Amino acid sequence: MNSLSYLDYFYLSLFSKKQSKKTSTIYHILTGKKTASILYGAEKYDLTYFFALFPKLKRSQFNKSIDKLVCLNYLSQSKENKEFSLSNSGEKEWTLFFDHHHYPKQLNYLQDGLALIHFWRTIQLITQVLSEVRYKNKQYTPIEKEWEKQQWLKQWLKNNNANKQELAVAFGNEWILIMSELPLLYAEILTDSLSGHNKTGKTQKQLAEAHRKEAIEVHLIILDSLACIGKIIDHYPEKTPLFSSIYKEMIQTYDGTTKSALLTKHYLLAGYSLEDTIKHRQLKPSTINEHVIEISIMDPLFDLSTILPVDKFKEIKQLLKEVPALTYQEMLEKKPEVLFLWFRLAQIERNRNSDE
Amino acid sequence: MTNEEKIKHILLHQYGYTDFREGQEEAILAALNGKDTLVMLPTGTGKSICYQITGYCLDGIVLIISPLLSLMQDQVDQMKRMGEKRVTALNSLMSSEERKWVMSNLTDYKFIFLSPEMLQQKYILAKLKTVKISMLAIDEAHCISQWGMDFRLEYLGLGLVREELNNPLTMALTATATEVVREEILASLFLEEDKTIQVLYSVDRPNVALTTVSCFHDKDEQLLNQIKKLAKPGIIYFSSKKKADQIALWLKEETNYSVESYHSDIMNEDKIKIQQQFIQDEIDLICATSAFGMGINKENIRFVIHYHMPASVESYLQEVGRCGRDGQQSIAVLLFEAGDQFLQKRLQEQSLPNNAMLEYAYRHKKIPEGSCSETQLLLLENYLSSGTPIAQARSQILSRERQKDRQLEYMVNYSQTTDCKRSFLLHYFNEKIRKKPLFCCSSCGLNQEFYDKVKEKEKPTHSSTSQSWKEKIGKLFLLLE
Repeated sequence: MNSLSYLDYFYLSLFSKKQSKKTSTIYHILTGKKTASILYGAEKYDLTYFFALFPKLKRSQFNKSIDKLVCLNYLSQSKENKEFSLSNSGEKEWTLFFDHHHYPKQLNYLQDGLALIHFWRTIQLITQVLSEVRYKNKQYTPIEKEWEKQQWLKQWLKNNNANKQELAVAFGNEWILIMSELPLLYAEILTDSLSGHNKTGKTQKQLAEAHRKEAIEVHLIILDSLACIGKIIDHYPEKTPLFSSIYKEMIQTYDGTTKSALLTKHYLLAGYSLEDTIKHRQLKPSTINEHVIEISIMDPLFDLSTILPVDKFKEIKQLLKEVPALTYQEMLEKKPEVLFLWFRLAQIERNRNSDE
Repeated sequence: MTNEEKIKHILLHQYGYTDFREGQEEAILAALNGKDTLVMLPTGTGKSICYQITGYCLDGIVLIISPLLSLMQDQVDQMKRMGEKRVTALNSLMSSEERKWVMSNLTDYKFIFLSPEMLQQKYILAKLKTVKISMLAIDEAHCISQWGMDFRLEYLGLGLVREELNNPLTMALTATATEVVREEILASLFLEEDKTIQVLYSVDRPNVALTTVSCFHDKDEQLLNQIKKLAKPGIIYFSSKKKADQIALWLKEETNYSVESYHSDIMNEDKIKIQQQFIQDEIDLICATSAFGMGINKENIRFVIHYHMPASVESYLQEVGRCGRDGQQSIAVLLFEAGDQFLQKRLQEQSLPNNAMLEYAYRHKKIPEGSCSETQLLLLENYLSSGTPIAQARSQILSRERQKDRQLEYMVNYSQTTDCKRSFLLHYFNEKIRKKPLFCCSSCGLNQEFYDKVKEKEKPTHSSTSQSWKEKIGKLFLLLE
């Protein structure tokens, strides 16, 4: 059998000894299948951090890794269902592996994964353009081909300092400040990824070779570094005004909630009841319920009290507290009036509170 | 100022060249005299300059029909890099916002690249009819022909589109077209043969020596031998992405060269970086599929090696034509092992719909999606939407299959012939060698003098600076310590 790869160990780390998990749910979480049931699965498995981390992951590749891990007895399958738990040796192995390899700890991919990717593309483009500005060179090929990004940049340059030279220096200085706050490896990898005047950034494969790592580890280091940058500029907004404003804009623009769910959210925030929202949007009640579950997971601060009977909700939460494994069918036997939506939202809150 | 003076002025001031290459001036002057043209110039000799300079001399928009989306993007980028900002591409890759923007600001552009399928859309055609079009350029015009290597159904409608646009001045450009293909180009575009100026130059590239190497289960070693003795940079072409990756990795281990692989699975961001690094001589060897090279304007590529045999003489010449654009001695090597043709044959089978697919599509009026490749799907869609009778579709596919078989067979014969390789390739285009180059091909014999010319003079060195991240950022932004 081949030795295990970074990804094999990473997948292993997603399982738990206490809670058995379905591999298909984990697969859909990693590829970002945005249905209410997978989103709930991500909450339940405590894997929202990695939601949509590998959108192009092939099912066959993932299954192959899981098969390997099962063969090595790092994962064990429960007899009654098709779920898998981490074995003692499995836990030992992945912990040992990540003692010497990077493990992404800063990510919150469900909430800000998309924004992070756009933030990275944007700051890379700005870096290249402003670096060429410093060298007064106009003949170069932009690393970003997307028209929207190029248009955004034109507008951003217009909105900022009229003196492009000063703007470039300010941007460079913000980079220095931010990089100084990052671990050395992060700073080195990010810097080498950047393109500018007479410098083409290195590909992830090239960086991996230089640092004797797998390309996927470098990829995750970059993502983790970007999440770190988000925290650094939150901490020093006045010292990083350019980065800070770009970051905020990306977080606002690339919210991650599906368009349709976002529209439902707008209705609910405007004070429409669930029934009125269904009527106005001319959608099935089940679709709107799925939206509410998505909204609740994506935005933990969303106030559910406007759309749920508060007393009933409390009762459901209490019952779930007393019998955590209570199924919806069992709940119906006790309280026939409870809707599935209420039950699921109560479960989400319960899971969230148990994390805290 | 006469047309001759005008175009020389543009050549010097916008492109920085003092002289035209063979055929360019002739094509531009013919077009400026109001003549439709069919321009055949060998790969890598600057066909785009023909429609660009003509466009600069005329009022109105130049429409350029280009078959490949990636090529289109590269052409737009190259023109922008040369300082032409009034250039854009209309294709299926662009977002609806971008398309809307371009469509409502058409007159801001001087050069608009379009995919043939975009031109088939009624609202785009209607909009184009409202603006002044100075010229219609059809790039890679051999795609029009069923006998060409990249036949595209959408190209067939270009004649009608041209009529709808009120027959603007037309320039059809190709690097590799046989006589039959050229005739079909003219007929499809409704260009009258006696009124169209044909600027035809040989497909031959005399500065590229042609060699084939027969392998017997030792292709990797043969490849390594070639690489070690030849000056860099070079491209090695593969028909398989996996093999391109494997060999790139192996070459990195076996040599000190900087090697990268390039194919459609590489992330877009990294593709751009690899192209840039190659252009800036940071990479010595690229192990690529045919996805690499179309829009790469790099003059000093010293060799092109084919690890796998390409499907046709046309594709071979296109890919080989990427080396030696600076006119310096270069070499094309085809590594051949008995049975290599079957890989191409398999790929060919996946590119045309089989009988079962065709029958399913016609019976159910929909495509059997799960089981079709992208090209099969496209072809079936085209047949259904154009209302082609099934019998006609079947016979077209059959004749395409036979054509592809013939093209492949010609390549197999090329790899095995002991006659002059150059004459053999030119014969495909009904051409003869006009003046035999001193270093012709492996059959004619390549002597020590040749290998001295193309051998590696000194190993490429790539400076690896040991700067800190802070110094690197400082350098990017010219920051003072």
